[in-house]
Amino acid sequence: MSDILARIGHLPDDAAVKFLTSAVLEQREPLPMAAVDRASQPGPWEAEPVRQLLDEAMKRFEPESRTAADAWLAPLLHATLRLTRREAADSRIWNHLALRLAPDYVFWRHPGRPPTPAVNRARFSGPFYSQTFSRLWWAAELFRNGPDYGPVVVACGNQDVLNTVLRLEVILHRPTAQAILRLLSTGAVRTGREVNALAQAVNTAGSTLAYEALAPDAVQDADSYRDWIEDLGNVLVPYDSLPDGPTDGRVPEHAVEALVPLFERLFAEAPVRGRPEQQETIE
Amino acid sequence: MKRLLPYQTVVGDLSLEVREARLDDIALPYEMISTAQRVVALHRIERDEWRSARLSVRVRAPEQELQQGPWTGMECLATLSERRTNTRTATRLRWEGPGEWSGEVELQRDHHLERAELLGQLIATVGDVPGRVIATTEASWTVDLQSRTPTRREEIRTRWVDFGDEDHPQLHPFKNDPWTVEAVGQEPVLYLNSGFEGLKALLASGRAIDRPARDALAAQIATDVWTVLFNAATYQEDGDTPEWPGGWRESVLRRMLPDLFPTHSPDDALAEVVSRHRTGDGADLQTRILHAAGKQARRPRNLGNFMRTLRRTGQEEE
Amino acid sequence: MSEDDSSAPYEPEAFGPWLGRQLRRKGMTQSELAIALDVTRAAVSAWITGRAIPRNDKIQVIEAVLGLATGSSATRDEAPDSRGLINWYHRPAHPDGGRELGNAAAFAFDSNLTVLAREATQNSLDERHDANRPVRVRFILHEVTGERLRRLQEALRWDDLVPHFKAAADTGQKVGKVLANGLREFHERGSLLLLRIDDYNASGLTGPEYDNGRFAAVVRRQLDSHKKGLAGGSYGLGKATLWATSQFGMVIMNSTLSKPHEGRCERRLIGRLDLPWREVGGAQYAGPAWLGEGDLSREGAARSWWAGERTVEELYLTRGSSDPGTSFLIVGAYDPSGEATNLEEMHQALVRGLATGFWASMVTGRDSIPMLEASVEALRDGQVVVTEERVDPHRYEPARARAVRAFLNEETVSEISTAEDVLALRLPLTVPPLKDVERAEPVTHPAVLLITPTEDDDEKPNRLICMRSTRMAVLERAVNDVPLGAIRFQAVLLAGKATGSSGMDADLAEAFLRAAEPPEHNDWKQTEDLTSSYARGAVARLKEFRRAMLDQVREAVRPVEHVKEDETPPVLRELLRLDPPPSPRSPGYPTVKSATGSITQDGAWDVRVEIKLPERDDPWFLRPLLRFAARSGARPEVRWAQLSAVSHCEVTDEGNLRCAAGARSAVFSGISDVTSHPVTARMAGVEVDLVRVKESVQ
Repeated sequence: MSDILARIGHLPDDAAVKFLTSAVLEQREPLPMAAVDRASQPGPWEAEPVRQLLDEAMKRFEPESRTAADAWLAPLLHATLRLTRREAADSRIWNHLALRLAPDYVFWRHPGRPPTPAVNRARFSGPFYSQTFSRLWWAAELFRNGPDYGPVVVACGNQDVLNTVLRLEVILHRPTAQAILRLLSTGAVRTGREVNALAQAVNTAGSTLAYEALAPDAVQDADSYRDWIEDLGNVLVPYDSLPDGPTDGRVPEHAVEALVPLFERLFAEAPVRGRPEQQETIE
Repeated sequence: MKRLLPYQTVVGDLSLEVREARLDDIALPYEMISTAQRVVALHRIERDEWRSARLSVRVRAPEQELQQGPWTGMECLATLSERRTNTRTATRLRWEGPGEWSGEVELQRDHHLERAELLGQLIATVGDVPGRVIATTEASWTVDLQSRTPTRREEIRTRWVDFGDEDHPQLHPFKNDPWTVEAVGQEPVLYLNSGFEGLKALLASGRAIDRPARDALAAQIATDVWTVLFNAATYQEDGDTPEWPGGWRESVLRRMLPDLFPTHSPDDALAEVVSRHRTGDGADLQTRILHAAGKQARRPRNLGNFMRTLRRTGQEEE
Repeated sequence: MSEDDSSAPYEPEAFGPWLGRQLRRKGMTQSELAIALDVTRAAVSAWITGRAIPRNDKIQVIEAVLGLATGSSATRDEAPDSRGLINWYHRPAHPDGGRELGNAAAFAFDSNLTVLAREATQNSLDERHDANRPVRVRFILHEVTGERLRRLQEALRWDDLVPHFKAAADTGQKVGKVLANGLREFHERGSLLLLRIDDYNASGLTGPEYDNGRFAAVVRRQLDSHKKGLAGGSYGLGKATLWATSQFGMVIMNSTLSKPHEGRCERRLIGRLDLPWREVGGAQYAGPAWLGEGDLSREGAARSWWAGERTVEELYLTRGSSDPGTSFLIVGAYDPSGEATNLEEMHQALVRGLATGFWASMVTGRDSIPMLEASVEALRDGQVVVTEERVDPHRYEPARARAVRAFLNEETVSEISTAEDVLALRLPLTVPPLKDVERAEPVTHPAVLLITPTEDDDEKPNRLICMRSTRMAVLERAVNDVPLGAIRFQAVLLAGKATGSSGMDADLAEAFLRAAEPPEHNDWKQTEDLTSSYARGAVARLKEFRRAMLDQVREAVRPVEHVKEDETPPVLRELLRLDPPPSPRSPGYPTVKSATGSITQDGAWDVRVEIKLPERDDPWFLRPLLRFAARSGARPEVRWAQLSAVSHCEVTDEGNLRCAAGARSAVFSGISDVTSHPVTARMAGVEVDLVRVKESVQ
């Protein structure tokens, strides 16, 4: 980007929508940065580390393997842009990131697919599971196991997890999320089709089963998370190894272990598993 | 729509009540809890930097039914969730006696933004299956982090703004309009132009003589609002199978679709709208939207009364 | 009346009253006895007044003169009632021909069982004997039939009364109609309903037979307010409700006295009947009649008598303990308002009446005893119909009872933060000086105002109830104009003695407020008593107090920060509502009316669905959708393995339903295709939806 942005701030939804004209989405016109700046409010988050990170992603991954960038970027984005859930729930920050700090990354990661040359508007400003950066940040937040980003790499390595599982309410229960990823990392489920079948089985059985009661989670320590946010100034987030996440409490292992066999059975008994009519998400 | 379940659930009502709320261990005045509206308001100006809220909750279930049913290993959970912050925490409640549980639900401020939903569930082993949900509270509670009064706001948000004001550049293009509607994002807003001469005075007037004109104006504004909101809500739809969009968009559709297509079920009506958008068959649809919006705005009565008054005053002058 | 058990343990009785009673029974004067015994009249008088006791040989002569068994004066055994000494005495009509067509006092009340419970119990509370123990009040409804009824009738000398009932019923007046109805129902049902009201640890009907005292106040007087007690009205107007609750105007009383009369305490009996003027056998009667022992010195007027245990048993008046108090037996009890018509309803009405009127007196603090315990039970021929219910104030008045308990336990708070908190405030009452007392300075009495949140199901929230003395409710009123956003509450004001204070200010406040009460004791306002007794400005002080209590309540429930957040003009609010609309009762499209189903052995859902169809001449084409429920997101649809029509529809070639034209409902059944299940059937719920399809008419 030509001009230097010091801080990541807030860009309201209605303003974002106005800037995302068809011409902009089809890259026939640039975004009017001066107007974007006028419509934005300043925020406290340093822009430079995030910008560097995105530049690094585009350097490391060839355009053909850009989906693979998600697994690398998600933990690093989470560890670099340290937000509370309260802050991350505000779509304005993601609008600002996409429209002001790094529209080039959005175009690079989610190019329009022929015959539509336009980038989907929701990749700039949209629901948390669609927007380019918020989907990665939230995937990291919801799939990490305390300070361990390992499960995030597993999750973001599978586009079906990002596109389907991330949207399910059941994974807001951390042991449920970890148990699903456990089946993925042990190879019990492999293909995108199988991931969807597992997700569907867990989601439908969740209409009668309270996973929260079967596998109680530990309370997440909001104070430790705050400390981790404030510690940002003292650390250099590494690019070649997993960063340390917040030490706000790991998911109780016995809770995950209580759910793994249940999910295995639900998946094994699910009659629809692997049937061809289940649409596989293509990215 | 009736859900069929492969096991027996509780027929009687499960009720939840918030008995007390504490911000960082300091009790909130009880008037910030409304049991009638099932709302807890957590916002207090003088204590803006609180970190966590504790809610004392009590859940009650029909005692006799529980005793006679086939349920074992019963436990009761209070679930606090907010979709926007992707947060959902379950707290196990203490058994207080037959049909009654209570406990403390903690709300971390960093994990919530606007409104959290609080509900109670009874879980039991039924047959050989543990962890079955056998009852859920009929109506959930709302924990409102941004409100100072525990009221369930049910109408579209309205703001009075001078459209020419420096602080609202996005409204400058409309500075000669009496009102405009913003229908993007998490919540739609009706902006009323306080710089528009006479608008505020008429809308706020309590004088009997102004009433017909005031009501007619209100109906006009409301018709515009509903028309804009309906179109915004349906444009969200893309994809083959129509899906309910959730949030305010779904509320708008659910309120208006029955008037657009009275002989269609809500699902069928939504499919019809999506299909007409796709096929470009929009003229008839716009007519129907106008009708449905007018109905929400009670246009026939409000406008009719106004005209009747005009006629009457006209006659008197003759 | 049958013979009493001679083994009955009589209390020691002085010789004097015994002798006096024997003389009355014989109709013999003291002078006549003196002549028969050859002693002076002064000597007889000394014996009767207890100043002297005759020698043993004299006593034997006395017994002989009076025709009594030797030694009966020593045991002081009563002459058996069967000698015809116990009878109904009907007061003769006024010689001037004046007629009273019913007990005037009974008409002063629009009576019902709630009023009865209130009046009877207030009397008992005012007559509390030992202030360290509660007054116990028991209401027993008892319906008797058959032989039990017959025996009771004999004990009541019913047959003697029948001509009086018939004559009184014919008068055509209000009382006469009630009586006629009562007689008709009695004959039709062959049963008689008794309502017995007991109190224990109360004074009992003490005092002489005719002169001032509790006994005379209840038995002899109408409209008499004997008491100078706290409430000011006990045994006054209120007692008329006892008679008003009897279809026959009949109440029999058995009292255990707290202070001996004629040297005795237990089983002082008397009955009273209130009938209108009547003519029986050529004689005219004024109205009231008494059941008792004929007093020849008063032209046969009936006196109370000391009954044996057997008599009280036959009259269903056996008391539960020797604790003093009175049992009133209302014969032919009914609800004058006509609302409660059977035992269960009457039981409920009494419990309600007790709870509403006396919840405050029944509340107990941690270290205190209640002033009152009350219970109600219902029997039929000795068998329990509704078990004895001890009236629990916390059940019937949860918020108010909690407020008073917190006050007694000193657990009140200064800011309400939980649903159970009770806020306590001091509310000064300025008591003006009395006119005739040299006390120029008014006194300030701190009344207590209690406010607590009330439950959602409280049908009458936001009310203030004011009490004094024994936490007697004087006035209750709605608190209007409560600020927006205020909690729903109940408020209780305690003034005078009810504050628990024994200071002079409490006594003065008590007297001041009592003076401000009308005869019904249901308000504090300007009364004659108030203006005549108190110095100028008394009415103004009272008005200030009343205004201050409402203002304080409003202020206390006002939200701390009332900020106007909402900018929506009121006129737009209704038009911009975004809450989900109620689902239409008769929608213009087909809906699932009912769906039932189970899982087959193959693990498929087998469902039966009834469709409700709106009126239409053309057939409806529908595709039934079976979907698995999900925690969130879209519900996965599954295929039908089999779909069959049950009634008013057919399955088309495309696998849809064609509902018969004009039909208002249709039923189909279906079995799901297991291979399309997203999860095994027993792990999830399913839902059925109907989608309209366009189909070519075959």
